[in-house]
Amino acid sequence: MSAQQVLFDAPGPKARRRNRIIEIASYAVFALVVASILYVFISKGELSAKKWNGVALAWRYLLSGLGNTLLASVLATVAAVVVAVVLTAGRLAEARAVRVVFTAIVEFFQGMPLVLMIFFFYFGFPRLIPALQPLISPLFALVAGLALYNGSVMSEVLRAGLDSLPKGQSEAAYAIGLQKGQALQYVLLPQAIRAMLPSLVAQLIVLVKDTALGYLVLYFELTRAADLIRSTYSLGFPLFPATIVVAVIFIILNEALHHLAGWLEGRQRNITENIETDAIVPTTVADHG
Amino acid sequence: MSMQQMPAQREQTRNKQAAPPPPTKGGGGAKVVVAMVVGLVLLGILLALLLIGAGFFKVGFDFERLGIARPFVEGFSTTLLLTLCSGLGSVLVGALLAVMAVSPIPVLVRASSLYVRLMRNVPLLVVFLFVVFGLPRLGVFLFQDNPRAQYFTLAVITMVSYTCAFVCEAIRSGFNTVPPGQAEAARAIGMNFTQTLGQVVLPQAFRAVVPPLGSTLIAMTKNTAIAGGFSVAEATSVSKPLVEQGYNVLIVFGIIAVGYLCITLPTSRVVAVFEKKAKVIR
Repeated sequence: MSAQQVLFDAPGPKARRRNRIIEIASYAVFALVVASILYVFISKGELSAKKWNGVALAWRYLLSGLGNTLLASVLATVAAVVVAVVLTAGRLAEARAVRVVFTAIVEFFQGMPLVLMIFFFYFGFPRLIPALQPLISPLFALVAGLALYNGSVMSEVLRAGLDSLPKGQSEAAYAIGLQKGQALQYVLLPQAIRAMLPSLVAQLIVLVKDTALGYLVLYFELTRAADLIRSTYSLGFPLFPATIVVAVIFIILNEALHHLAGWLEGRQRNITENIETDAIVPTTVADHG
Repeated sequence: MSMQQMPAQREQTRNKQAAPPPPTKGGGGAKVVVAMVVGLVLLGILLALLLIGAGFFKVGFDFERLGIARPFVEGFSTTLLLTLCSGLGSVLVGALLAVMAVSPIPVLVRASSLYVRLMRNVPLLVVFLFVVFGLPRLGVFLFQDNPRAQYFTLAVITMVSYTCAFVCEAIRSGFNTVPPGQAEAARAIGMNFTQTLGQVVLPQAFRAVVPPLGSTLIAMTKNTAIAGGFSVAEATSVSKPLVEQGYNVLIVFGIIAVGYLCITLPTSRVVAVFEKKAKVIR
């Protein structure tokens, strides 16, 4: 169902000639644009060897930043999964009041910017509860914000997964005497999580990208490391080399996660006999930036 | 005789009962034009208010009279302005990227998909670092005499560069929901490219594009909060000085949160309603 089949018939000779012309023109335009960009970069000396050397000298900072990014990602993932399970359980509760409250909570966390939540935990919490002040670090604020936001998004994903399970599963679970919580724990959630694993891994990509928000609360992760390196005189103020290196690291990390999600999805298709319903669409949740 | 009509008479009565309705008066087109003009005027008023609130236009209004509300007004005006400008820009550029992605020219397809992959993997903050710190280094100086406008424009450029990739993905996914049989049928009855696109493909694609596009724009609204870290006085960044001045934490953050919810919740409701109404049962 490619878009090209929808729009274009097989090209005839005139169309092929026209496409050839546009192709050559595009190559020319791109070459011109890339050349002019590189010219501007190089003429200002932004990509000089001295600056790249500067970045290489600062490799310890980059490594430390990468370590902190990974640390925040792992902690936030674990916390987010916990939050997601709690929120999903709440949304599927028997009592209507509990359901309404948890739905409101999920909508609340999804409607607010992540930055606002992180700021709340970093600036607001210590003033709110002075006793906790020594506990609040940038890492805590970042992980708390990430966990709440991604937890609520994951709970939506889990809910879609639970909805997509055949009704017979829950009916059989109740038939053998399991209670709601037990049915969820032993029968439904394992299947839902397995079915939603590609989507959850895609959410991981969002989580790793959002650890960069630690920059705003002075958590020393990759983007802070790049910021430190770019503003160091002794390294030659290497803005572009540092930012490019950090961007490449993020690209490698996220592409790896993306491939993991794709592999999981492929495995899913081989294992499950169920046709994927509209509910299980791995791309809708995570790919909105 | 009345019950047994001749076939010709039966034909006549049937035709009389099935007489075509009288043609609609020419008021239909005019109503749409009036609605659009009213909409544009309202938009213009909203823009003027936002520009004044954000401090780009100096009018005689003494902002100090607002007292404590002043940072909130300024912050949310800037946020809304940032959202509108970035939204418009990213939809335009994203549409261009989508056109490149579905064109029959391999170079354009590869370029567009490369750019989208880049923006999917790189955090928005890194793009901010590139643009806000990088462009002045490269000699691109905007609004040197007006730092507020300078940082605002840099933020808009960043958000457009980042969000256009996701808009392109949303539009492409909308195109992919249209079955190729539609276009084949259109071509089979002799429609040319413009007709196929305008009368068959785009109306169907438009319906499928709106939900993911709405989600992308809501995510972009929330991403504008990051601009607060780069000298743009938008809603989230007012929380820090206010809290440090001693105002109640819960109230300050509560007001800002409610403000954001007022923007995102109605938008997602509207998108959901549209999605339900425009659902195509195949």
